[in-house]
Amino acid sequence: MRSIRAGKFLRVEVVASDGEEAKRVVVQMCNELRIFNPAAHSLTVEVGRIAA
Amino acid sequence: MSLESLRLGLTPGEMAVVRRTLGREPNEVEWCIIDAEWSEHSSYKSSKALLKLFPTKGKRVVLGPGYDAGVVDVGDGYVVTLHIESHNHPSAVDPYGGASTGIGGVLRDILSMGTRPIALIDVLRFGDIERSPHSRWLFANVVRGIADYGNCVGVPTVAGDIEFDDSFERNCLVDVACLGVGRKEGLILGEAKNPGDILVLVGGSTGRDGIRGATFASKNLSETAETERSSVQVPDPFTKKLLLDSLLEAAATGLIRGMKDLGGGGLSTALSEVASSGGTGVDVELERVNVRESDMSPAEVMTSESQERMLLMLPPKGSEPILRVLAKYEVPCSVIGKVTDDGYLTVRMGGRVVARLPAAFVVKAPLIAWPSRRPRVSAAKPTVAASARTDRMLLSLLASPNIASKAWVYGQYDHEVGLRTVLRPGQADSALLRLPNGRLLAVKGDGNSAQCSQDPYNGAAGCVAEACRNVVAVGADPIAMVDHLQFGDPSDPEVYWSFGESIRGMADYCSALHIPVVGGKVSFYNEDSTSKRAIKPSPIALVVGLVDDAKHIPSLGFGVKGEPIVVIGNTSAELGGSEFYRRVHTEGGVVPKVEPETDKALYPAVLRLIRSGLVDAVHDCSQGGLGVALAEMCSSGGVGAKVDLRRAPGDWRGVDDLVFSESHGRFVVAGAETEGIVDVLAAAKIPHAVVGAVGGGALSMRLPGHDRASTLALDAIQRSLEGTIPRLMG
Amino acid sequence: MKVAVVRFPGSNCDLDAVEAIRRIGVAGMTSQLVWHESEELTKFDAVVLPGGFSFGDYLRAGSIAARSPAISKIRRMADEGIPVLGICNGFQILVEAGLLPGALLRNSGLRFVCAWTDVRVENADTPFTRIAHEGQVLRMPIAHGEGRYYAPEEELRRLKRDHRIVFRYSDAEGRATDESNPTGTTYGIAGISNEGGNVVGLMPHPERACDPLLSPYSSDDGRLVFRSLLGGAGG
Repeated sequence: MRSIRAGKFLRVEVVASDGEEAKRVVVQMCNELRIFNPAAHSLTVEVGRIAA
Repeated sequence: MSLESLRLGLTPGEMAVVRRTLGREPNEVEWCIIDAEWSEHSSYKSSKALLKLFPTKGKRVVLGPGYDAGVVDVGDGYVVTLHIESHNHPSAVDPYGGASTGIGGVLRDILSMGTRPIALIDVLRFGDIERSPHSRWLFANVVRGIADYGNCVGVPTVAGDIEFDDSFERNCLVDVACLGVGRKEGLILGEAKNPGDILVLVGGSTGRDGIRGATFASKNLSETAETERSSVQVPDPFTKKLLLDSLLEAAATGLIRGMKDLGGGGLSTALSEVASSGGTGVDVELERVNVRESDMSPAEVMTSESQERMLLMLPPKGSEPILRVLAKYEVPCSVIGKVTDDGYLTVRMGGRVVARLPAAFVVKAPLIAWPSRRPRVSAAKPTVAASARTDRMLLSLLASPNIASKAWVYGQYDHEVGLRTVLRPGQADSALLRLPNGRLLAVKGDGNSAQCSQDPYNGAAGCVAEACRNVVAVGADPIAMVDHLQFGDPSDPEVYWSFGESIRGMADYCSALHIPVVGGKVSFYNEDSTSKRAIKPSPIALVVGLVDDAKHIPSLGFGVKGEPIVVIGNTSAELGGSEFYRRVHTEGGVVPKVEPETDKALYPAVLRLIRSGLVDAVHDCSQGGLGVALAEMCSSGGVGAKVDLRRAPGDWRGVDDLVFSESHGRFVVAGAETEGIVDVLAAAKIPHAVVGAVGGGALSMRLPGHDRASTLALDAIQRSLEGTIPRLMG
Repeated sequence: MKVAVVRFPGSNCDLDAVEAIRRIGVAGMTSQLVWHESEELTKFDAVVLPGGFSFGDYLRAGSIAARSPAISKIRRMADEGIPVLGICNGFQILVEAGLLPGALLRNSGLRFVCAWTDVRVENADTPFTRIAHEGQVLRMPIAHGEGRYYAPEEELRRLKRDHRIVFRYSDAEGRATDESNPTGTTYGIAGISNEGGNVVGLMPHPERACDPLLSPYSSDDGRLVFRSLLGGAGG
């Protein structure tokens, strides 16, 4: 193994019309509420659908 | 539903007593309640009778054993509370969770008395960390658990004691003690005294973690221990901190009528104990309990050991200020019932009674008088060749895990929060804390399983003596003790014999020295059920001492070059259970004997030396003996010493006795005025000798049977002391 | 000079800060504990955000406290030039609130460290270092698990250029060496200030170095940090 990075995993349930909107809402949340510190962290957002 | 499916810990004999006394068959919920309270951990059924030997009264004792914590008067209207707990079984399975919830538990007991926790002490035992990766894993995670919890709640861990021995490989011991301080008139008891008072459950939610944890702690560990992980409770120090701040603020209103922490046995034990000690009854509705999972049965709610919960007894009217404080800190609380006058523990679910037992009966588990038998000891005398290279053996002892520096451990503990820490871990023989009235409180915990396994009477008494020496060495008068007695399976007559002897040893010593035992714990079943391997008997003594002011606080290390060094006390041929014998893999020998009559004169004499400013460096002799004590004083002070140990008093026979014997009643001191020091000791008829002086860059010792002095360079001493634990633990 | 010490749920060095300031006993300076939701905060002349584990350090140390109503008040007070001191968790909160730049990451040894350290005063113009002189060494303890100050290159350049580095870990002679940096911080940084120079964050605990009795080195260097609030020339 060459390297390991540690991070946090947050699972957010969003009510949205499509995946793009859901992703937008979550990215906005992460930026406005400073869920991550841009000086030290990188952010990845993945979307999946769950049954209504 | 069959009784087997409940997996109760009760014996058939106990179940017969239950049926006979109640005159009927209890239902499932009632069996679970009784099982929780009659577990060894909660009831002390195997130990209560013997524990009566301890002296528990004294002019400073406000409350002795039998309460959530012992209470000692420290002057000017202030009291100090002390309590000790263990989380041995949970820590062996989940060291991080077990150790942190151990801290949580002991904090709760101190808090439940209405006092503020001000210090933590950890006493730990693990297997051989030089050989066992499993023990290293347990050690690393227990320390991390204690650190994370203690640091988060902001209570400093100020002292400790760690021992490594193969007998703890599968049964590590994690003891945590806590000290609290408060005003005497602010003390709150765990009693439901007033019928009509409401019962309020405060803090964390009640879930399925730790169900029947008390029963788990009362059985030998088995190979399926991994599956018992759900019996380990989940720590939440943030909730504990909120509880601490909110309850201390609430207690200041004077409105809390009673407070009891929920520990082993959960609601079962807390409710039955407050009713029984208050001479009242309680009536609770389980649907009012804040549960984490929606489908919990009444038995599960009653025996859950979810952490961070407290039971308050509040007046039925006028409790708004309390509820406001809890709301401010967003601490969940619910009114779950009321205090009655019928003497019963009445439990309801949805209004329907699901359990109804006499409270006084629930808390009175029948005592068990196990048979005891003295083990046959081998009469063979150990034959160990006298150390040809004392210097090499001494360096090897300094580097041994039991003696080596534990800075790796306490560097992870915040030992300064609270602005009370005058002497911190590693700085001196015991911790020293500043009290609100300006006096100082010393505290130290000690144990020695190697000595206790060979001679439980002297070994256990020796733990008390060592703890006393440690507080005296910083200038404090020993004023109270709590004990923790940890043994294997009490149904083994030899284990039970050593248990009784340990209590006798400690009780005799405390009585002679007038040190009251204000509390304590017993932990049995520290035994692996597959290999039948029990731990070595491990009684622990935690002593607190009082200093009136900060005028004369000696250091551990030698300070002033040229100052004379005085050895106080006799060194005898007592290598039994010593670190030296452990290093050369030898059993047998004579275990050091305690001499209470000597100590009665010794402690005041040493205190007189300290308080009159005659000595500035003081260290007691214990593990490793005189050689180790001298080396530690050199290392701590950063300066060497030149001594002729042939002058040391006592009936020691050869160099090994002299340097490595762990005889009790000894100190090493240094101070400017030899005459003054000698006068005090001679007047008190304490054996002593001036053996040399501070100075140089090495510890140089003239020894019997050696033409030239044995020399250890200062940097070699420091490397030996400081290298081991970081090297092993990374 | 009325100093507010803000308590968040989980703060645990708040009473220490109040007590330390009280014991220093300087005429004209008082300290008071202020609950984070209290409206009274704006009436004070200086604010201290103390150490601890506010909100359990959930998500990230200081991240939830940074959303407290107290912080919007403190932001406005800081704009008006009110001195603000963030100690340990307080420093973490100021960084999470964006009042100070950079990040506070896990110590390089990945363990909590409780030890006495020396720090060199790099900037003697802040309200908390005014009575010190540049180059003066202060001995104060640290106690944290996430105190490795990190600033990206560009940010570090700005901090150096604008003299916003207030303290750097050093040896007893004031040399900022690798050995004296206990947690691997960028450039040995132990404390920084904002652009206005009135908001300072540091990882060491000055309130624990105000009474020689409580220091193994008999240090009371921490007094200087609080006494500077009353002004006076560099000493």
